[in-house]
Amino acid sequence: MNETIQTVGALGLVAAALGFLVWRWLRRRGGACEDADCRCGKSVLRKPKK
Amino acid sequence: MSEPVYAFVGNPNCGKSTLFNALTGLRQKVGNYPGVTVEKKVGECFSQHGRRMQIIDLPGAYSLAARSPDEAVMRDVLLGRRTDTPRPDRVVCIVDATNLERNLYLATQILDLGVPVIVALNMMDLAEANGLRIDVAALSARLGVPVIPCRANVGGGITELRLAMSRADLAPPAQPLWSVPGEIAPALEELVAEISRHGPRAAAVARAEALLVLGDRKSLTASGVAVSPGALAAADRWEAKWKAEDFDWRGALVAARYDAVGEIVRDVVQSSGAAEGPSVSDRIDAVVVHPVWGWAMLVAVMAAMFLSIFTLAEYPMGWIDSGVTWLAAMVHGTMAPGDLRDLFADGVIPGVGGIIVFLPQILILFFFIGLLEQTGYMSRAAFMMDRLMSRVGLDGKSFIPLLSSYACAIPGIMATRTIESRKDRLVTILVAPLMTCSARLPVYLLLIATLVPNERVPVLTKVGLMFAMFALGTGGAFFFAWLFKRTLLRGEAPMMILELPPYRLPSLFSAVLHMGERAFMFLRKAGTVILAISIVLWALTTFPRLPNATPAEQIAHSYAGQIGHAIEPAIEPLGFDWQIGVGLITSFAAREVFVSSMAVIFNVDDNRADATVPLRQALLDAHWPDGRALFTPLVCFTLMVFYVFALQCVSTIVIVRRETGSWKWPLVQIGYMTATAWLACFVVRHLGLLLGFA
Repeated sequence: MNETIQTVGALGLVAAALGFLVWRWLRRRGGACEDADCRCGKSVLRKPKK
Repeated sequence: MSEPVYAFVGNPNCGKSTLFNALTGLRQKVGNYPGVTVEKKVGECFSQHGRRMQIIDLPGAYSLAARSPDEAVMRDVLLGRRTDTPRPDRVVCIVDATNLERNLYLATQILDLGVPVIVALNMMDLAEANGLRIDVAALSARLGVPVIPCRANVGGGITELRLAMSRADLAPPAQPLWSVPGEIAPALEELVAEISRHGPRAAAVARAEALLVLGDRKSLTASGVAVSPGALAAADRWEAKWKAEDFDWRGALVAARYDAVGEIVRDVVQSSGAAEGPSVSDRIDAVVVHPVWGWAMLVAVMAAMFLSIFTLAEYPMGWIDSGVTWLAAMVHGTMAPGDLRDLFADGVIPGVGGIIVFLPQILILFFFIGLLEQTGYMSRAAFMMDRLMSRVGLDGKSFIPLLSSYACAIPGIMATRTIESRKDRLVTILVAPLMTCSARLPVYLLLIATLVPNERVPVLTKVGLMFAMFALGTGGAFFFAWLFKRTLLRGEAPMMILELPPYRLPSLFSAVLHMGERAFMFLRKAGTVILAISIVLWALTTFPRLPNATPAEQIAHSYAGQIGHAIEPAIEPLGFDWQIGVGLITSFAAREVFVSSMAVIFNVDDNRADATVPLRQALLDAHWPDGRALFTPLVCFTLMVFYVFALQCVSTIVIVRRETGSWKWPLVQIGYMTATAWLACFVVRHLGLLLGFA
């Protein structure tokens, strides 16, 4: 495998990793909570209604 | 009839989730303490005829008059007030046989709802051990619904419960189990009529809502439930009348229900007298929650846990470490030189391997936690801690969320839903990330290993250091809770009412299962986020290229080097250089990424361009440009203090934003935690220098 192919392969992996991190951030920002296995997507701490 | 929807309801810690898991085959978290489930969970099982049945596991509550957000979930689902959840067609009400009277209070409220109900009488074995004999047939006849005796922890009664759930002829009880007091009956009738006029409701649901409006209107309106204005006006009128007559209508409603429940219990329960005198749990509690022995026990349990982390894990860690080193050397030896080889050998393998090496220690920790959760010791620990927590003004219910935060702040923050007061809940959310989560463990373990190499100090020093970090985090959480309760979120410290569940023998299988789940989560994170960050970090340390440069010059010239140099002035007073700065920034993604970052950065050092060495050694060899050692004992200790206080976790920030509904509180949290981390490190550094540490 020559050096150019290696560089292209490495950069491809870097792009994929960046894409994955951005996708994960966008998904999490939307409210899904993977770690706590919760899909309610709601804010439950509301100020009491007067 | 389409797929029936069952709701599983009951008091906290009566075994709902254990039954849910047994029927659905899911692995919903269970524990021998109240408040494990704070959101509804949905699963499926099949009837004996192969028909699909949907099951909703709801958070536990003592009554339909919800006091906290998790209890409100149960009430709203049962009353059909959630847009995201269908109103259940049928309800399985799980009742703790050892505490029938208190559990039947909620059961009678469920029976009032006019849906078919099955009562699962759980913990029958414990009831028998306590000398209680329950006439199941008589109980079923009195309640007017099927009653199934169960022992969910060993799978007893599951088949019978599934058979009962498969029945097509289930019907609501034919007549109410209790009578509304005569003075309240006309008011109830008027409210039912108003509620039915306001929107379509089944008669029984309208009656249940009317009872809630009369009995505990505050909890309904506080959680944003829309109540018929006509019903509220009628309730106002009646309440004004009763107040004028000095009639305690709320007490009368509760008493009437308890009278009916008490009568049932007297008829169906026989006590053999074996329960007289202190039970086994009481005798154990005499020691475990003793003001002196209780603390000694708590310290001993934690010390035993940490000691096993350091001693038992040593060999498997060594094997993994050797495996990672061998793999990196093999990639270097077999692949042609180039970027892809460097990416694998200097980025992916040390980055991911540096984290995986800590797997055995994390598994041992969670095995212990799993055992403790099942025995019921956690509630006793909560009882002991409440003495401290009430002094700083924390709600006793904060203990479980704070305890969960030792594993991860995210479930801990979600568990604050059990806290009734909004201000107390916010205080708990703000301090929860200070508890020592499992993501900090790899960072501490690496730094302790660098700070105190094996050959020079006994293992107890490491245990002491780890204990100190846990204590510092917990102490910090208590201090800030005290501060917030006196400044931003002023309020009275509420009284804690805590149920101490009976002790149960832990199941080794469940503890291993718990450990396996944590292993899966840990490896999934290592194989996804940490892998991706290691790849990106490798690129940041490799580009832009500096022709004919040494590895050290290259990394200093790279994007990572530039970022590190940009923040170096802010962290230099703490004894950290730009390379550590890169680790601090990348670990915002997850704290353990610090370890991977160090592995990636220090693997491309001058003398080791072609050979991977254990990370600890690489850190010990690292130095400042003037030749001074970089990772001195003082720097390692200061770094640990930084990780005790800093909010280095983007997932926590996102979850706090979601739970509090605004960016204000996450920003307050980032601000106070980062400032504290910096100040604490500054103090530690300069005190250390004064005391003669390098």
